[in-house]
Amino acid sequence: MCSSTPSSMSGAGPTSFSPSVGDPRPIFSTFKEPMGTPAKGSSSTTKLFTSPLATGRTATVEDIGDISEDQEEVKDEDDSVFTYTLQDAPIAAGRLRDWQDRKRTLKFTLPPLYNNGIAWIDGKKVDGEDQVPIVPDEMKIFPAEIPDSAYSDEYTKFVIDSHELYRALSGADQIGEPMDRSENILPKYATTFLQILDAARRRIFDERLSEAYVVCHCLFASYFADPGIMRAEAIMDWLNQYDPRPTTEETRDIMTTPVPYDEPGFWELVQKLALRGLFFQCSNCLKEAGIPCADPESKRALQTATSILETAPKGAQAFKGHRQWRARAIAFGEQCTKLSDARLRRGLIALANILRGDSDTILALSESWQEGTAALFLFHDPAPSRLSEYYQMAVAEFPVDLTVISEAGCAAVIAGDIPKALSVAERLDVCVAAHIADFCDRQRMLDDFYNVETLDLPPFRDWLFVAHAINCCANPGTWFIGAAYLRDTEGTAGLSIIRESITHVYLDTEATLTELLDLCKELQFDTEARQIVMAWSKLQLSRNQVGSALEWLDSIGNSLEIRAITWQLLESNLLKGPTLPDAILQRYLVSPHLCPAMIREFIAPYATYFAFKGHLNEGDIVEAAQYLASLIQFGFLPGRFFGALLGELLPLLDRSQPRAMPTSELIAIMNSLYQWEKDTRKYTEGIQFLAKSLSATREAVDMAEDDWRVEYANVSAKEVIKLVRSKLVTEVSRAYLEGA
Amino acid sequence: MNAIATGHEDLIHDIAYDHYGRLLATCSSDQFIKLFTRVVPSAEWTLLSSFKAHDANIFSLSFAPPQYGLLLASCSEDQTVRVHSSIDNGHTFTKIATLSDSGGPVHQVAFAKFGGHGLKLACIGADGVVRVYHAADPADLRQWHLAFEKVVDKDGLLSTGVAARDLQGDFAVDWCPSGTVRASWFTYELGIDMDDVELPRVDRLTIAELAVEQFVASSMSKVVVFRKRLNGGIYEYEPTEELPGHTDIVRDVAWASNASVGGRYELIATACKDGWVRIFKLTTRRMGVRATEYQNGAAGTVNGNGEIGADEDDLGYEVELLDQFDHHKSEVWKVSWNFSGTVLSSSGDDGRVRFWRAAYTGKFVGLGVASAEQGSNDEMDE
Repeated sequence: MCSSTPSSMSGAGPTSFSPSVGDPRPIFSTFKEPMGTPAKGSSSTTKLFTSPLATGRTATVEDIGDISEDQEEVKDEDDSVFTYTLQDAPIAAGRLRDWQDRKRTLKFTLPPLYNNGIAWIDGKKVDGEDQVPIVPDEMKIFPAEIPDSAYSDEYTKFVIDSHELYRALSGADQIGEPMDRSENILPKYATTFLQILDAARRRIFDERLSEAYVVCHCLFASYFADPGIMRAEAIMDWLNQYDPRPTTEETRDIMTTPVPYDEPGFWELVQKLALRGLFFQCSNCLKEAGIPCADPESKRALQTATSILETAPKGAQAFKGHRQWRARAIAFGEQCTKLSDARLRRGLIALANILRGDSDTILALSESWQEGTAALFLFHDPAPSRLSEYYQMAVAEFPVDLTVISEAGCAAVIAGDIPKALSVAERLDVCVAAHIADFCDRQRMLDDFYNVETLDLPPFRDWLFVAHAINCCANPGTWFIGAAYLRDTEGTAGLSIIRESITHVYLDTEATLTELLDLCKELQFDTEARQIVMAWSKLQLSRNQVGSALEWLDSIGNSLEIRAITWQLLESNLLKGPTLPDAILQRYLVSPHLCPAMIREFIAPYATYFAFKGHLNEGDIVEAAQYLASLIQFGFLPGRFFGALLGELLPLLDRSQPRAMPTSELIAIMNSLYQWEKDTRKYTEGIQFLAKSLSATREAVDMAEDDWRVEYANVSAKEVIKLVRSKLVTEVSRAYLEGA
Repeated sequence: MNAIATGHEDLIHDIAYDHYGRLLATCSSDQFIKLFTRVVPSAEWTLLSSFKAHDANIFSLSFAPPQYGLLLASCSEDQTVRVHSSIDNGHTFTKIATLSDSGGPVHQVAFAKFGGHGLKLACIGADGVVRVYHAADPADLRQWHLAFEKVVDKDGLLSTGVAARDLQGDFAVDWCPSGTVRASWFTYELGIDMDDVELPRVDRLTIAELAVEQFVASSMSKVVVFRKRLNGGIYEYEPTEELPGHTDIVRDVAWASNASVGGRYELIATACKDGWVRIFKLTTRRMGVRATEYQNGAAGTVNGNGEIGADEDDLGYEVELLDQFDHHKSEVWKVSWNFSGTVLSSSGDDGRVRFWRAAYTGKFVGLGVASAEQGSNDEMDE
């Protein structure tokens, strides 16, 4: 229905990061971010809340207040949010005014749980004005969804995979316990999460997810790198994946020529490979370039260059070996100053300057702040404490393009402003942001950050998980995942949201029902459990699974409903004729001892009627008569059934067959009849019901031949009662004559 | 998903979802209600049933909570509220009750969403009166008892209580979806002497959940919260807080779930003819102190400890305008919350549905726009 991959925005944006040496205690950002991408995140605030790393001072509440004016300004422009067009949009382009002149308005409602609602056009009735004729579009409804909230099948898989990893990590990690690097399991899980995310973005082709991957990768490279590699290496690896340079084509264009060294771009290629830490490729280029070595010094210099490149420290020992390696690069640079070949000399000196971490050379050769930062970090001094310093140097040359969300996020990561990075990630993909935040939280990276506005807000990690969980709950197939996340959050919001949404989960199968009830039991949601069972029993009733409905009602002790349903069973049989009970009900009718006590008590009248009909069908009229008589004499029988049950007596009072009832029984029935007729209300209800029953017979297409009403369909209800009374009297006299 | 031709022969005035979002009901000036269903939430809607429900324009619909079966209430210009029941999952509906107490067209009807409140139905009509009906016996839903009625506001109404014919009027009602609120009260240590009770100091603050039953109703430009309280031994809905600041007719009100904030406060959104969408935050006041027990001592001063608590009757809100937006630049007609109270949608005369989401600080920020006008960019507008 809508395309949701907006390109980078233009327009009002925040101030750029102001470079300055950081304050040691970063302050939590306000997360009122300007829109970089329309699909997710906030709309129209302006100034980025700059972290103290940038400003060198502690932020205060007043700072947040200062940006409110700017916020208002941008808030007035609604152009800064993502807009999509409804499918089959009813208003022609540019014809909004005409549409408004037709006194129309648009309305929209969201469903109780999911994120896809319905829009429709309504009219504005103004008294005294003529109504405008309706057009076909105005009798349609238009599906519309909350932007960026619906999960595709592929995205659902990503959510499920992420959750499984989260559970595995939660099981393996002891939260709160400080970990030394050797015990730290987070890098392994971070790598796995990155792989899951990478696979998802390749399947889904969503620009925002790809950008989220970039930010996630940057953060993991910076803080959750494999212990076996240096942080500077990890960041350089990230950069080479995020923005691979030189490209394969650029390399091929030069290195496939007969003498690559003769190509004008050769040294640029070599320097770029070196700048990017692609040492072996750089070394191979030097070896295969066809560089003429006119003298032994040139040859020696080239050998030294390739040796330094090929012995660049890597892995766990890289940090320790860096100083020594850098010293070699410095010496190499000095060696190159003596070369006679000017071109070779310039090229190798530049290479040496890169390798020794000369900031001027590196920044001159870099094309972005990311490249400059990564190169300075890798070559000058890979001590983690210096990263922010190199970042500041790089952004002084290459300001961060904050209109590119992922770039803003990566800048925040490199600058050490983790809450800002998470905030950016949240605008791209809340699932990714939540999991990143979880990793950060486990590594205690969020411990030093606090919210300047109020202390009442939940931990940001929890807030992200709640936001993600809400999306999960609002998408089919992932509600239980959402509930699992919510249970893991602090405070009461998580459980409240579960409680709020649990009764809205559609009861498509008994398995879903059971799972929901198990959760209710675990969380002590008794009220919700009752509601769910009630709703399920109603569903079962609508599917004619009466026995199942009764069992479930019995499980919550709802005697009122059971009573209502069992009387309804009798009523339905009296009106429509006997119907085959479902399997559960059948079992209870045949084997009452298997029936739960409460159901057994309330189902007795229906069971008696069922037995009556059963014996009647088998021709056992004496047994049948006993059951019917007991039902007629039942003290709690609703008056409205009395007439219809009396009517059932007619086949049993046929003089052409043996007497079905003893005299005492006949007299008891006559007495019941008399009591019923005396009670005006019951009598009236009974007559009305009997009349309805007879009417149903007249309209029915497939009435059973042995139904007593077939013969009396055109007789009035009162006539039927009169006939029953007459036959009862006759039967009594017959019994007397027979000496009974 | 494509637009769906409903088959109505006149304008559609309202739609409603059942509890699971699987059934969709629409009502129209053609006096019909139509039911649509979908197998899964991502599927297309298909027509399930259609029936003539009233003798005039039908303005509003509401489904009851599912534990009472499939019940649908409708209200109409014919001055009635009708309750319809289906026992075959919406294939057919039978009218089981007609409620005719309104002195004018009935504008909105709403079942209480929180199942713990029992089966209750609120409605408000052009007579400016909000009414609450209660089905005392869930086994017999043909019987509805008028439990409460009150004029929301007499402004703009004639002496007969009916909205003047030359005024455009509007009336709306919505229940609080949560059955409990978090409230706080103080526990004191009491020092008691022969003559009076002393309350020396606050001992501790107790926070607990209180059961509450409340709704918000709007009549013309006035928006009032009604809360069920014990009054003279009888429970009734009392007007408690007003949501101020509306300078024109309020078209719609919507009460959000308080789940996402753990019940710490309530959010109510309003859609107004003045072009503003307003979000009000209602925070429970620190409840008053009321002695529940105390002890008399012997001669001299006897210290006793007692807990002073409070209950639902002491509950009150501080009302503040949390956020307001005039991005529609025209009349706003409808507001609707998502299930968690974290996303609000508004729609109106600009042909746009605007979405607002709760940011981390609790304030609301723009999330996106769905435009009913062709040619709206899928990227940001210039």
